[in-house]
Amino acid sequence: MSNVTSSQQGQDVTISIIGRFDFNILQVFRDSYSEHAGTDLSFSLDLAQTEYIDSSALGMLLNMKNHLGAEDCAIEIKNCQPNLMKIFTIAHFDKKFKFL
Amino acid sequence: MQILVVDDQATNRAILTWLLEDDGHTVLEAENGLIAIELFEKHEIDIVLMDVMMPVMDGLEATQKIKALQKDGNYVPVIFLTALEDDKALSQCLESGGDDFLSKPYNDAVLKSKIAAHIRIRELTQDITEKHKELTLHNSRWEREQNIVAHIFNTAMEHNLSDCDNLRSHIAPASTFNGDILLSAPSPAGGLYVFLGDFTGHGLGASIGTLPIAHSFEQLASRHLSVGEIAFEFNKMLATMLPDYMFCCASIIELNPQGDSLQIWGGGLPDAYVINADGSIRETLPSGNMPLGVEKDQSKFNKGFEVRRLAEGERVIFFTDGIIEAESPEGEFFEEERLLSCFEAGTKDTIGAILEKLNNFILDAEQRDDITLFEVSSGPVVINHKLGATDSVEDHYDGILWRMSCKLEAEDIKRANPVEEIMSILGAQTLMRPNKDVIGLVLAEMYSNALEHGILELSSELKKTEDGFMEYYQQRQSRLENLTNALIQISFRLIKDGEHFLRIKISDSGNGFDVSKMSHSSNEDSFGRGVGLINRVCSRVEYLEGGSTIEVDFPISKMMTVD
Repeated sequence: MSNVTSSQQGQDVTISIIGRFDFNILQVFRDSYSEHAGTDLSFSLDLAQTEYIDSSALGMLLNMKNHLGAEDCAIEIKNCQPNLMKIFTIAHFDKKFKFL
Repeated sequence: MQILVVDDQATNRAILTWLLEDDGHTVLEAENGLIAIELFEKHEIDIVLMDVMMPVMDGLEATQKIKALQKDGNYVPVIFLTALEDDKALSQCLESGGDDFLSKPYNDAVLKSKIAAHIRIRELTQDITEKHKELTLHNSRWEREQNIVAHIFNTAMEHNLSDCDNLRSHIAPASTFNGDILLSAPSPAGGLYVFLGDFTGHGLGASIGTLPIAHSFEQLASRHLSVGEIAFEFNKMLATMLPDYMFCCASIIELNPQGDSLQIWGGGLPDAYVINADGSIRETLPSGNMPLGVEKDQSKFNKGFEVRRLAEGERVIFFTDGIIEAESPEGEFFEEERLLSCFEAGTKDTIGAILEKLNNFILDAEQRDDITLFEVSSGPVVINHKLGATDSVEDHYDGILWRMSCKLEAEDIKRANPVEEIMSILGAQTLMRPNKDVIGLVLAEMYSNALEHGILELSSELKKTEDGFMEYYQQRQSRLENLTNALIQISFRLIKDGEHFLRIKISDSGNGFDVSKMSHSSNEDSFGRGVGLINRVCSRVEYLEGGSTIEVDFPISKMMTVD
């Protein structure tokens, strides 16, 4: 099953998604960042243990970006696996988020 | 013991026989050398007591013949009993092949102890002969088996890339069988995977574990798994296969096709080093995980990995511990300090510098452990000759053009995620495998559209706002729960029109939807994105029956590369 965890270290908030990243974790995913809106914190997503994404995940990521009012490439995506990277690339998400 | 007494004097023979039988021996008697030889050939004789002067054939000649009759390793002592006392006569006895002599008249106790001593020698000789036979047998069997195993290993290691511009390596096993293993394979996207492993110990025992690794590495690479997932698969395999005290220290890397980003999973090998273009160390990369095969609880295994950007001219060097622990003739270790001294600014050929320093250190000392190192350098991945590359699957596909279809009713739709089930079937096809993730995405999006817009009649408009997005999925759930009557039909067809395409068709029992609205959605929107994705990767997308049927062609041969 999917799981979302969020941790903060100083100015950096890291959200890790374990398992499937789709609309089934919509609420928990939103909760993980929504309280930080309007702050100067920097956000990164750790996808090292994410197994699957679909268009609902892409929508959720864009919602996150809009909610936080983040500039293009201000949110970092870390440890994205090659199979998921393909999907991000097809969706041109590599222009919206900073992949590390 | 069976003792042959040879003497022309009946009295002498009788006395000896009486004496020896008293001691529990069986005695055969011969009155001259010729008869002695006949008896020796017929019976199993353990020891011979020989007179020298006899009619017909004397003791010297008889001894020569008896010794000639003895087969390899069957030592039958001949003891001369003689009245002669001069040195010349005694040395003649020994030259003829005799093993000992006793002057007449002899002392009973001395004779008995001589016999006992020679029996001991005879038994020892028999024992050694038997052991020698056994050893020879084992040795030839071991040699034969070693040849078979060496053949298997060599074939397994042939699955390596023979030539890749981004990869340099040095392998020096301590014995015929290497406990170190270095593998490389192309990634389906055009990048490079490398696996470096060091099994506990060295020689054949350590080598065994390398076989399954070599066998499955290429396959895992062709599935384009992340280095963390490859580590997970190997750990699972080794944890069940190897005895508890054996494991494999390993590093697994993937270089992207552009050669500017390296993914690294490290478990138990010595530090790796990121080297600047000038040859100095940019960063030390300690391995962050336990060796493969240690963690028996799969759920606790960490699939996480590190990512490093590589600028032009930068490279990363990985080692097994054989290099740090290499010994000089004086028994001193090479150690990290000597290794680090090879990373000086200005050193262009780091591997060359390390090997030179190492050779000057080891000199003629015996190599105790396998030594392997490799260097992966930045820059677009160039593979000059590759074996078993996955992106040529399509070129060779001459299999059947199959079809597959399924009907999903309300209960099936509510039950679980049918896309996942279908993909587990499709993904097993060699032809689909390289693009499995993209095909899965296309199918998932087509299915979502059929279900959400066709059957559940949800409006994409809702997804324009963040709250609406939430609302959309809440409605999806409640409508799905109340669904009683619905049908979604999915069919797949492999077609060949010049190249191979996968034709996917999905029809739903809904009333269709306004396709024109969807296709205008731009990149910025968080709705209708699914349709955009489908359009981007399929060569043909067609909506039929007012939007309640969608048919697409996915070009199988087109490799989706990661930028």
